[in-house]
Amino acid sequence: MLTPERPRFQDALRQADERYAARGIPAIVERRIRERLADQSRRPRRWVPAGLGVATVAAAALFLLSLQSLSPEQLPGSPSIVAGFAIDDASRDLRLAATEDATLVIEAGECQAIHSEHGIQLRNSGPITVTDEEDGLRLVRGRATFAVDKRRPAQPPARIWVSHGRIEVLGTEFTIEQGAQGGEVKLHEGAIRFIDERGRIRTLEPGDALRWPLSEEPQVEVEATPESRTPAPVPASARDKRPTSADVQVALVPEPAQETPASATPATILQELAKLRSRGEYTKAVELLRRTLQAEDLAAATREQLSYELGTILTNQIRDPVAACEHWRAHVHQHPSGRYATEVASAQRRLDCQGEKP
Amino acid sequence: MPTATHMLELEEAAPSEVSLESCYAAHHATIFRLGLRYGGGSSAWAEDLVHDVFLKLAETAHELHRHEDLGGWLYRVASNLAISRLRRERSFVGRVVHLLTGDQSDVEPATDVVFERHELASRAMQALRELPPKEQVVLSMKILDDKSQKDIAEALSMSEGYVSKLVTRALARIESQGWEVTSC
Repeated sequence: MLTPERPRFQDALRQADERYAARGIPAIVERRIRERLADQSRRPRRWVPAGLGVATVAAAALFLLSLQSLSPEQLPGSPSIVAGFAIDDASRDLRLAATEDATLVIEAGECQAIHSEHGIQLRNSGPITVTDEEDGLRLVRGRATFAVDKRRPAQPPARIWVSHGRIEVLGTEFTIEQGAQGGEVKLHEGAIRFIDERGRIRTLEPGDALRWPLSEEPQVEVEATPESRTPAPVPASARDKRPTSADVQVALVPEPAQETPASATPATILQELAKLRSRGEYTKAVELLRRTLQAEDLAAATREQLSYELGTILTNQIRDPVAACEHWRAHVHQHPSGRYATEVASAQRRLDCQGEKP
Repeated sequence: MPTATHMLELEEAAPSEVSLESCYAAHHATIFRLGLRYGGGSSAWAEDLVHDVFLKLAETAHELHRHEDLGGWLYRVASNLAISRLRRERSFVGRVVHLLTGDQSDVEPATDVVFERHELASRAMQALRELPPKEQVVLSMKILDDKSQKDIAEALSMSEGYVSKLVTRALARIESQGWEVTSC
């Protein structure tokens, strides 16, 4: 009788740690840390004698217990409630427009808006319009960073509706920008998926960005039972541009690929790369990077960055360990003390590239 | 997490002071990753650790010598603060405060979300999290950061013999849960 193989702890633990490394630190968390450190430096130091430690904890516990019996509006210094959102941490220049019951319009300034029923918090960057839908929020226009409370058992996923679909949040923190004709989401941590009007699904991992409307590339996932839903009114500026059935027919024929010339500026290359990544077109991204890296007149820092981008795509998206290891070997040879030495070494370890030394 | 420690170049403009901003820029992501590791994937836990580490740096910067290995110093401080925090959380008082504040940042579901498709990784991190605080941190330093027992002992102000015992105990616990462990 064969005894089942025991899983190897050290390998599994390293894999877990690599996942944490890949998460990075979300921008909103970094900002909070800076604010806390800055705030700390402004406060006078308070010292509690050790002997009072236990009494202090007990007093704190009693205080916290008393707070739990108050409704949110009664809490001292509690945020104000507007259109179902609790408004907190407002900048001095915050200006909220007169709203209907379910619409929050921020005309100027910044704040944190918390919708406790949906378990969604947002922080705006500039003017935004957000409506409360029955099963989530709708970002009508503007840019905001969203955080989502952990779902309770049987609670449906948090949903943010946008112009061409919805984002279902499976955990965590992301930034959405909604323009007049489309938008983009960038995932900072956790997992989300984007489902467009046709039921096509894209699942994002931390660091991924996605733009809508989606391209006509073949999709891996399609929603099995797309919800029937009356689409939100399309803003007037975009109405004339909605595709007719004839347009859609034409759009299904892929456009001839237009190669970004290798002589394009680094900024252009990176923009194109971001576009290809957001569409999941990783093979094209690899081709673009390889073409660009053949150019002789690249600045050293740019060459290193693009080489690193190529390696991460080969490692994480294309998942070709042979090609990735070969590339990382070349990268280390060209950039022995480079900016990404730690990340490259981690990738080589994860791929078990033979004979590799950072 | 780098296996080698880093030297920071100090700004010539303030030769007697540590450049806090450059320290923060260079190392906060590394400390945050440590926080995720010890906090079971909790962003809030990691955020608190980063805050506490750099607060400590701000408070003691004047005592640090020029060309001090600041990366190593921050790593040591983070490791010690992590142990202290884990011990507080697991104390009776820590559990009472957790109960009363209804803190939702703890930790298994966060780990499940991050490692949704990597079940073994999730289980390994959970097994690490269940170790007593000192064993958790020591084993992490050994396996994940490739630190020698001597380095660990120095960082955590322990004897090498004690570090060796902690590693042995931790691996025995892990093995008893059905894992294959290689001695380290």
